[in-house]
Amino acid sequence: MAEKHNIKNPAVKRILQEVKEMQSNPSDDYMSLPLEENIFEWQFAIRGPRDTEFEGGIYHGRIQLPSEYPFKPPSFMLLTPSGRFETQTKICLSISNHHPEHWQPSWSVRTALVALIAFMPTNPNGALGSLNYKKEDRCALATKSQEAPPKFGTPERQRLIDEIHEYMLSKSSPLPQLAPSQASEEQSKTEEAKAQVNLENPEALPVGAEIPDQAGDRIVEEQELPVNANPNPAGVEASMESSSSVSSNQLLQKSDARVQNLKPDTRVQKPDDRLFTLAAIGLAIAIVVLLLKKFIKSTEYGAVFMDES
Amino acid sequence: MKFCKKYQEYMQGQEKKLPGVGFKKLKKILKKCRRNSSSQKPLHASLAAKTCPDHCPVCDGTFFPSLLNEMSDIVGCFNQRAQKLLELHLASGVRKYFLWIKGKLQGNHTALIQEGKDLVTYALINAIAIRKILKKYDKIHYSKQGQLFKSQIQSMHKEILQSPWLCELMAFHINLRETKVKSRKAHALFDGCSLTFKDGKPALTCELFDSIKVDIDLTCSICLDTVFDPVSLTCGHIFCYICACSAASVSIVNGLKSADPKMKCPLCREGAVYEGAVHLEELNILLSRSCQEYWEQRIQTERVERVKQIKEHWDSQCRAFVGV
Repeated sequence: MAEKHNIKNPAVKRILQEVKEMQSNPSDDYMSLPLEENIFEWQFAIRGPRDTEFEGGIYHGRIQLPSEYPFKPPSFMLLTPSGRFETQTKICLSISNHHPEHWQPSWSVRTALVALIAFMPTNPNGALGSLNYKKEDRCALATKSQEAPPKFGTPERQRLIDEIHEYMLSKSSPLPQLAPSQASEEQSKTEEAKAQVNLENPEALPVGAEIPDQAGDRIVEEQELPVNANPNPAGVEASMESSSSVSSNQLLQKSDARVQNLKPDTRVQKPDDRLFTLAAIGLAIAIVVLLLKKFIKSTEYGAVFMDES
Repeated sequence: MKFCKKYQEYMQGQEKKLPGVGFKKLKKILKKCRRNSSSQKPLHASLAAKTCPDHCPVCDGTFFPSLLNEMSDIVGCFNQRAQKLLELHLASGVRKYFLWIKGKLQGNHTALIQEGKDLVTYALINAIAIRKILKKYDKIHYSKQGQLFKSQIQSMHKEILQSPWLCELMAFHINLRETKVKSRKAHALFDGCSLTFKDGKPALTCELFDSIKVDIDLTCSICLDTVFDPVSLTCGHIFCYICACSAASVSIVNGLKSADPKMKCPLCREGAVYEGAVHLEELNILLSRSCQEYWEQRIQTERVERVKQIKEHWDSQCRAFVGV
């Protein structure tokens, strides 16, 4: 039985938005998804940055989001040996819970993963959970990381790790082999350039771009949009179940429906408002009339009293 | 037609004398500066330097101070007039009926709408004028001083596009669009404002004659949803009221005014931005009508959160009073 999430909780709501966003705009350089039983626990994989000793590596890890997310930073832990970060140790980064003063609520899991990729080639400077291996060792670990995903946690989590690993492998571009002939050399150069363009702009995926089947139906679920509907990537949804008596699928559909159910921009006063306005005016008039009556009466009494004297 | 001429025509067409950018005066200053620099240095040397001299008496003493004063006047005037206009429109209670009767007698409803439209045009055309003159400065001096000045102005909150009242006026214009107004030709510079949804993300869009487009994103970067009960911080960033309160570590009961001045904007990290936060009422009306389903759903969830916070607040107050 799928666990239900409390969508009234702002943290849960925000996380579900991030799941939706992550799946509607997938990247070749990273992938991250929450566990079905606990959406505060995410599993991720990042690709080693190009032109570094980490190139070609697929590094898995887990993200623990706090209950106060996004006002408090998440914690990161890597599961794949990289020669840059210790495994199964919470690492110290300016975006992690080791430095809450640097964290900004506008940052997300996506921005954190982009930052993590950027941090990989940097100098560790003795930070917690950091390592400083030689380039050769890091290259060897990068090659080894592609072979198999790490073994960690429950079977449910392991299934997710394998799924993400498959996705990352399917997205990795094979390095072109140089042939002795001039023609093949030129061809390989153009292929390399193409690959570089793709990696430099990982977000430039078409909305309907298919994600290979190996990734499983958890990654992306295609949905046909009506002709008049907004052609937004939010139409791509998570198949993960969630919410208080509402699955996250339905929740995402609801949030998309609001965009399609736009009302015209004209200001139409509701009949209730008009009635209320009329009632208020009526009441005001009645009060004025009563006050006038009272005032007239009081002046009459005064006149009578004066005459008697 | 050159922008300079268009701008001057627009400013002369204004019935009320409004502060503006002294385009001609500033251009003269730049010409003077160009003459000075060319007379002092040979051409190849000045090109080699590619920067404005460290102590250019013309720039330091005349250009930037006069532009700063003009910008202050423009923003001040715009904010004041916009605030006054929106106060008239958003009046409630007895004041609302008083103004309504007064409006009926004077027939100033259409004038109110026209003034809103004129104010948006005024803000945008001045923003373009400032941008153009700073670009010209950089072009003449082969420098990036103009850009630097622009960023300094933003931190001083003297950038007109940062003003929360611009966003409010755009929403006001959309809210009252159904009323047909015969606009004067001199002021028909912008095609109007609209609420657009790109990939499900709402934005206020305004297009000006010169194919210049202003987009104001209406997605709260904290909850990643359409802003609900929107509030604009003094840095110009818009958030949901509850999200802003949470980011400032204050309860809804105490409000943003009670936020610690050290608290920074969740987007630009600028300090002391919560105290002068502005509630965007017109935008609230616009969004509540544009996405009703979402609004009702959000009201339900917000109500729960507000009740919870109020309960916690009064519990702590009672405990403090009893001395527990």
